[in-house]
Amino acid sequence: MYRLKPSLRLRQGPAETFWVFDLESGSHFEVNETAFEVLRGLEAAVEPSVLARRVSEEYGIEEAEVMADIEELLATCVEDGLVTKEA
Amino acid sequence: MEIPAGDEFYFQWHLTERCNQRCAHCYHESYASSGELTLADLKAVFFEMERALHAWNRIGSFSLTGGEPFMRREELFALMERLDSSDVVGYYDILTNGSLLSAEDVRSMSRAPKLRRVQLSLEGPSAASNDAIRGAGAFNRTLAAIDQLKDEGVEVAVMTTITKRNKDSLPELLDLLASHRVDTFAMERFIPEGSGAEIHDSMLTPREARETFELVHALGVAERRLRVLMYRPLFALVDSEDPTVGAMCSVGTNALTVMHDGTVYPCRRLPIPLGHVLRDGLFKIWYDSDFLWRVREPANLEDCGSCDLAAVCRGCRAMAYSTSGDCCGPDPHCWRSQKCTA
Ligand code: SF4
Ligand code: SF4
Repeated sequence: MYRLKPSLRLRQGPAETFWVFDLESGSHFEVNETAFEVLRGLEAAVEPSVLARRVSEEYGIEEAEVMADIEELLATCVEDGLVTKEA
Repeated sequence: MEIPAGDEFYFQWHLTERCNQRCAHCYHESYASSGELTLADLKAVFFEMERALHAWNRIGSFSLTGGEPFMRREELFALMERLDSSDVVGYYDILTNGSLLSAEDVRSMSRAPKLRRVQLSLEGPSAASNDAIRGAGAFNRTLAAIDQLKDEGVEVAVMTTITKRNKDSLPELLDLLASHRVDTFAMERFIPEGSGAEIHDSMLTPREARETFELVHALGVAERRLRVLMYRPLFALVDSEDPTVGAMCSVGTNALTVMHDGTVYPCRRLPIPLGHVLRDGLFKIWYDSDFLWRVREPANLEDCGSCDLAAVCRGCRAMAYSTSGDCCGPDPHCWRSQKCTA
């Protein structure tokens, strides 16, 4: 189970930009819209598999393919300390 | 990224609301200054500011003010020492009415390495015009303070709040300032808020505002004796080519105001509490305020959202708030706006 670091805030900025802010360290990152949606899903405690199904239905992409992309993104987020993975 | 923008971040820092004067157009509603921070808390506030500047990789510029900052002389000089030794402070200004400066204060200021200027206010070129707003004797006291500062080599700025009453006396005022060796002049439009709400009818009409901006610009271009600062919204309407003319309203982009009790506002003239500098911290305030995010999105700004000058203007959000009740409303003095009749 993935969890967003509690000190993170997600914001859509001006001109269709997407941002992650860490209220503890003050650091911030721009992310693409897909990553933003995934992180927003985690924030709302939506499981990645549910997100994958939604994206698959909305864009007509294979669910397994979407899930693989989400897993890859989450692995990077775990590495960067934005997300924790719990058993 | 759009926030914070540029290389600098500006903090207007009010050490107190207490003041020994009662100016008619002051943005303060009360001079009680309840909940003033102790020196230890003020140092903690500065630590928080430094932390933010480091994280954002910005150089800080500061205005130390009040109320009257010399009502807290000890705290003021202690903070100046901190600012002077900080690697993230570019410079700071002190905004004072000048009436409490001692010779020793002025000497100390002349030795402060990061003090850029001391800013005083004059509302007209004569005792009658100035003292009608700032109180009996204020004119002579201010000129004496200017002379005292200049004699010690301190750079001096004068700020004038423009109303119907003083708008026509600006050429005369600049002559006076030049004769007292003032370095820079800047104007702000009167916004009917705080104590100033009682003189609401002093506010410029759109036509008068346009004439005033054009006059100040013409004076500024011609003036060789002192610098006329035109880094303000609406000046770009007069000249959009010159980068020293016009500046975007800094609300939500590169400035915050910290009040005497630690309350943070987007701008001193926009008294909407965003949080508390110590209890909430600047990161939460800056990143997580719905108010700031609303103002940051150009499309939310009535008129400015579709204006090609938005990057160097955006109107004054405090003026919009004061006159329309909505900080994203139009700047009522903008003569490009469709509703303007200037
Ligand atoms: S709201 Fe007005 S006074 Fe405040 S930063 Fe913007 S332009 Fe300046
Ligand atoms: S519409 Fe807004 S950005 Fe354009 S000139 Fe007027 S106040 Fe400035």
